[in-house]
Amino acid sequence: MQSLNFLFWNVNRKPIIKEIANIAKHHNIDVLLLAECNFNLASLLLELNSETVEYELPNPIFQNDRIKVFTKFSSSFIIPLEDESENRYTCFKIKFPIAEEILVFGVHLPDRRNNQPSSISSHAGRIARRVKEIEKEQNLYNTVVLGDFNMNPSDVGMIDAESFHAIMDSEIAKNKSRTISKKEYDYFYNPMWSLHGDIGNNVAGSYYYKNAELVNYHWNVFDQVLIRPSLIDSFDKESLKILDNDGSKSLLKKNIIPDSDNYSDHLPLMFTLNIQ
Amino acid sequence: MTTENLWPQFSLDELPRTPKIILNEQAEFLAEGTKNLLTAKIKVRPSQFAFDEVDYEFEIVAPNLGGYKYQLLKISQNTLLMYPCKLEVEGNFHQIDNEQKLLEKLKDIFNSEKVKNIIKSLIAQSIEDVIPSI
Repeated sequence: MQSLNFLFWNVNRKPIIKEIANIAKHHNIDVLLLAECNFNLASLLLELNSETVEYELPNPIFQNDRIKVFTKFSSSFIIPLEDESENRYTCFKIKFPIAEEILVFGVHLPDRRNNQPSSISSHAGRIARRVKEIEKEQNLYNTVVLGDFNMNPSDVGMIDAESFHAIMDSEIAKNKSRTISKKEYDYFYNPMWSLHGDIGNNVAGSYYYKNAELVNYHWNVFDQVLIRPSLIDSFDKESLKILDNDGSKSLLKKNIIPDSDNYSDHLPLMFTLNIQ
Repeated sequence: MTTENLWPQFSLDELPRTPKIILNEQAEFLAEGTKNLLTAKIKVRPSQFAFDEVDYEFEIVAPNLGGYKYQLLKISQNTLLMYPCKLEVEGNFHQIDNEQKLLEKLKDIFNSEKVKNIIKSLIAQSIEDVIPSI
């Protein structure tokens, strides 16, 4: 069995190299996906490898400007499959010699301040459709989609069967699909529902936004991971966390919201897959 | 008594080429110019946003890099009218009024520093054949 620790963090164009490296080392991260990453990647690599040389630069085939993928194992086990000029997703396979292959999508959907929810949902539908196409092309359904969706787990673009069709119950998702008007729709399991709210969680979401509108969620869970049914048993539910510190210092302000002045306005997300 | 011919005069010599034909031609030029290290594929699909539109997605494919694909641009056109059409690249939409404008826009895109760098990078790695068989 191969244990893989994933980390996703929208770093909001902040050069928070030290904090990224601290988290990676503290949590023994194997696959590191960063969004809104515009600092020198070599600087991060040096920091990641400051104690022992373990991490590798992103595979140079990747052409996504916004999402970067570092790994703690040889980048030859990462097979880039697809990028696009709009930079909304990157897609790759992880293929170890003696473990089952997995298909990974890193996504970054348009932001809420400049895009209406319906527009973000349309983008979600487009990407979800591409996920299904690539699964079919590759004949590979061990799929993980992670990133900054700029939607909450309950938003239509996450739930809609024509989009991600991501539900909160792993047992229902294990049914693999449901049929609506004679068309079959595959499920994703979205464990992030459990992390929206403060009971049992260190923070109530991954992104905080407060304005003077009558409807305001305050905490949002824009940073999410979705898992196809075939990987649910490989997913370690207890490992899923929104991190509020980098292992040595807090990423929050005194009022317990993300310290966007010094770090990112998003908090990092981590989880573990135990691949057979 | 016969009715007057109400049709205009048609010239079959000066028909505009469809966006799909132009994209296919450019795909062939890419393969030829890179000695097939890179190819391009045009995906045709119904538009997600309008029932009377069709989308043509232009993907650069690197066969030696495990079939890695880069979705470069998309053209959406009315199913009956070729022009005007919409060209989407890097998340930006451009209205294209005619064939000439489409050719000019494609030339701009293909010759942008970003696209030239992507092509160079993919060609260089295709030659290196960086993906080992595992």
